[in-house]
Amino acid sequence: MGLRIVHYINQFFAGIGGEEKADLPPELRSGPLGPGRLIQSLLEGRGEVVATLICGDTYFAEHQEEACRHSAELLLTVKPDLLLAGPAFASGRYGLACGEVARLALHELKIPAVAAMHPENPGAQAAVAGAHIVPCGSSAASMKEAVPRLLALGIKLATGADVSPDVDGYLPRGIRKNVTAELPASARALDMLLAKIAGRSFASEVPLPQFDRVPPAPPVPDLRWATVALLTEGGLVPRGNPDRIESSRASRYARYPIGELRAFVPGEFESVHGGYATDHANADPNRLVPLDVARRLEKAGRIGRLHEVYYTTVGNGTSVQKAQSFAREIAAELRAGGVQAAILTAT
Amino acid sequence: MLTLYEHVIRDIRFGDEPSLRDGLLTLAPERIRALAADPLIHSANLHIARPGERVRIVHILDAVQPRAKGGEGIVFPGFLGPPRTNGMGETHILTHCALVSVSLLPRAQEALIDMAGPGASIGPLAKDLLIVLEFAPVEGAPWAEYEATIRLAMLRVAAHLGEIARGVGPDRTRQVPRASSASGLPRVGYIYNLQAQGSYKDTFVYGRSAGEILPTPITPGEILDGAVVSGNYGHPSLKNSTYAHLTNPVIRDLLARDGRDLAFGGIILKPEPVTLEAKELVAGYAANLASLLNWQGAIVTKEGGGNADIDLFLTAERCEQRGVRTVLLMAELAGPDGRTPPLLGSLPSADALVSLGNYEEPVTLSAVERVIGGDSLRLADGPVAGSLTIPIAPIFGSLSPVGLGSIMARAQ
Repeated sequence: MGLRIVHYINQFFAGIGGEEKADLPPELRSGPLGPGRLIQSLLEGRGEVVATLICGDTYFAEHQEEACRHSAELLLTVKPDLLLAGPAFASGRYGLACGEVARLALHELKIPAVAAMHPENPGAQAAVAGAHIVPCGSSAASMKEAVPRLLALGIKLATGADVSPDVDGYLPRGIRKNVTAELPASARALDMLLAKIAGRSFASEVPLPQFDRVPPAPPVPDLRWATVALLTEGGLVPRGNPDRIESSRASRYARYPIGELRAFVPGEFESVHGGYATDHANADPNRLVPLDVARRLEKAGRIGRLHEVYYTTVGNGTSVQKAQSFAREIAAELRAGGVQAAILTAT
Repeated sequence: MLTLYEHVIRDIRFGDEPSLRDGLLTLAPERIRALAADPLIHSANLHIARPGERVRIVHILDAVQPRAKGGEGIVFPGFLGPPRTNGMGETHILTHCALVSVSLLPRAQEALIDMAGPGASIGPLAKDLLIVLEFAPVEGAPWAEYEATIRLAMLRVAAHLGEIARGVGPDRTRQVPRASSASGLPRVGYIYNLQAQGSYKDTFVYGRSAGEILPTPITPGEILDGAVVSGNYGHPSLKNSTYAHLTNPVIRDLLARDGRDLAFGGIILKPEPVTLEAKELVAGYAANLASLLNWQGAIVTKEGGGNADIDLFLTAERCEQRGVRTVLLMAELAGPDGRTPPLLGSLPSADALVSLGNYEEPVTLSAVERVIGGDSLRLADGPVAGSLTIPIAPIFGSLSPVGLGSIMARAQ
């Protein structure tokens, strides 16, 4: 049996009308319409455009949530094997709708989906959210090149074939996936090195990073009035590791009360970090999280008050994504707790 | 010149007298247990695991490819005898097989090998016949001494296994020159980072901790004769086991391509120290050596996660500043769903990276019929023989920094 395809287009390509009809809410019509007829002719028995999903560009842009919900309902009545959207060329609102419908189909309805649009169409941002987007020209003049590429990738996705941006030409989605290498790493490395020495072009297999730069917080005006918190990625936990923080690739952090403590007592706290020799930290946990010194500073009035809990996790192979989520939650709690400064000890 | 006699092992069995005939290796278990005996070792049990068998090996510490000298000299100098430099003469190597040590050791991260199923397809040792030595300490044995004892026992047994091949006709003979005689080709070397962070995360060069050395040139034959030995029980997929040092694919390919499309300019061993100051020193020092050796380019590999990346990037930067082009081998930390930026850091001149795969992508291992090495896993609850979904990270050698693995990560 061939693939059952739903094609998404706007009111203009559906032949309903121009701007004056752009507030049309989503509707489903059976069979292909407009560019869908080209898709149908290219299918040559491999499948059928069973329906066309149409939405006005203005409606989609101004009622995005409603348009998505309604589109999803309509798609579920058909349950297609593949959704194709556009091509939207350089049309911004149409591109937005195509990208969003493709993302929605894949991530929420688990229906393989591809959209086509010019790479600078604002709708192409949906690629970063995981949608497959085939780049094409900026105007309908490129329709005849764009539609076959849209369909070719769609068929590969719908039939479960392996795809990659390098081979299939879609916009990078920022997703890394393990695959079996065709040549050993050593052979690829030597080939790359010889190309580099000879001044030939080469491509790094790992994309080079662009990191967030976190601007430092403004200085604390006067530490004598500040509440100071202690944080560590050094894995210091109460004996027995009650929250089972992992010794590497930590998936969680924890907070433990220190309001009653003058200093950490060896044996009552221990480090569960798997990335360094923990003997010294266990012999005196205060060298990992300087509670003893912080209490002395508090008593001497050099800092206002020590926060009543300390935060801990293990920073050992922890993904940036996890670390960012820990940071967001911890920072929000510290702010809610009136903390103005934090000392984060790293190992 | 070093002459390698490679003996392909096709099966292994236990018997009374050790022998090697037509690829069938017969082991005498009593002989092996006697070699492994030590007052700190309570027991050393011997197991065999074959490719394709539904076997899971857990609590793996290290693996060694067996070998022995044919004439003069010893393998693993500094451990099995005085640290006299070697890499000359004749060496018998047993290929398609490995000796694997298994034991509980505090702070050793869980490492496993599946001999069949999805785990086997990404674990480089699953292709070999494995002779597993399962050690247990006597009660109260100090851990650091116990670790040194089983490391030495492994090397003794590996040399014993190699000796069985003495006098047997090899399947293949290879010549390994001390230095290249090629001319008119790009001169390419290898900067070989070794993790050296003290007990349980150490690497030994001629029996001494690599933490005590400045970067130093070494000939490929010395590595093949066991000058570099692992004492590293951190990241099982990101460390260089002794097996990885002995079978290093970067060295293998440099030797194979020497005179063809490159001139193999040599190897520089380089420690990965723990302070930034020392990292800067060894990076600059290695780059100076590469430049003194007239290298036009260098492959750089690392060992371990996190701070080892800094060693890699600093080495690339210092080399590039001296006109030595670099390519780095790098495992990625792209998160379980592959959506996290894959590198912890970077420097602009580290612009040529070969991917060894994403450390965190989950893999579902099939259930097995037999488990060697323990009845628990230090990473997942549930039966150790069952089907498991785990990150790739604990699969021994799967992301091997020197490129023993079979995967890479790609944009999807």
